[in-house]
Amino acid sequence: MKAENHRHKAENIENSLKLLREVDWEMKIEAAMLAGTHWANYALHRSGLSSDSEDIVHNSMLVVNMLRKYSLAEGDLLAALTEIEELRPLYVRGDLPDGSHAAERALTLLHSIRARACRSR
Amino acid sequence: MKVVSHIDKARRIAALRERLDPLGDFELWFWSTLTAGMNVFNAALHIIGLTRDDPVFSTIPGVHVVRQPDGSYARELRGPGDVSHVGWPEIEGDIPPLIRQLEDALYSIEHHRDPCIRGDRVPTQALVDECEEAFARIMAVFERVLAGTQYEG
Repeated sequence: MKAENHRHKAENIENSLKLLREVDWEMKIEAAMLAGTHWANYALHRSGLSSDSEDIVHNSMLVVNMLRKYSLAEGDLLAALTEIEELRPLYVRGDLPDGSHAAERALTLLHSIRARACRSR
Repeated sequence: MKVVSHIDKARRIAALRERLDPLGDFELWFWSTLTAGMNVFNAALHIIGLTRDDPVFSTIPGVHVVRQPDGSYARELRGPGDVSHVGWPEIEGDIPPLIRQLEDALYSIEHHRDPCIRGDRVPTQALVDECEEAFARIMAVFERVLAGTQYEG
């Protein structure tokens, strides 16, 4: 998908996040994963490291060599995305307490991903 | 995951989707629909006895996040547990019609996931209507599965 379409989808998800409440921690974490992944693809496409036909779906599903390649240029961004993905089994597919705190962490990470992606070129 | 947690998530997330605009907030509306539906599916599988409601959390098929003796959580290889997507993993055994109905309804939602969430396909009102109809079937089966069990009400 083209970089600008990734940006549009990420921004739409971020806009919808405003409607979520404290008890909606699962969807906040999922929103951070979805929007964060679009921002990652936006950054990688803009920098020329991946083409429009080479989108990341999940960091955890990347071939090791591709993750290494992308991490050379966008290590911090991908590390933040990995941290969001690590919250999913515990709080989305799991029922650990204090999900709202985990959701706030996911959104903080999303903000950092967005800031990094918007600086990419 | 425990049945009560699946039920709690299904009901909270179903309530959330009512606050979202299906087209304006499509990504989160769709994802909420799918996530609530998968929690219904897993609750039904546990209640019917096709999968166990162990307090472990699914990642990819065969790998679960499990509480360790020191209180931390780590990935472990285990048998079938919660299903993340229809057919991932495949449920083995004699599958009752109610579960097949859930699978059909979930599949009719999930096949829109990659084209619309991760691709360029623009969602339409017809697509929203299709997902709404499938989600209504899921919630109707949910109530039938819960009826007469300790989880009813």
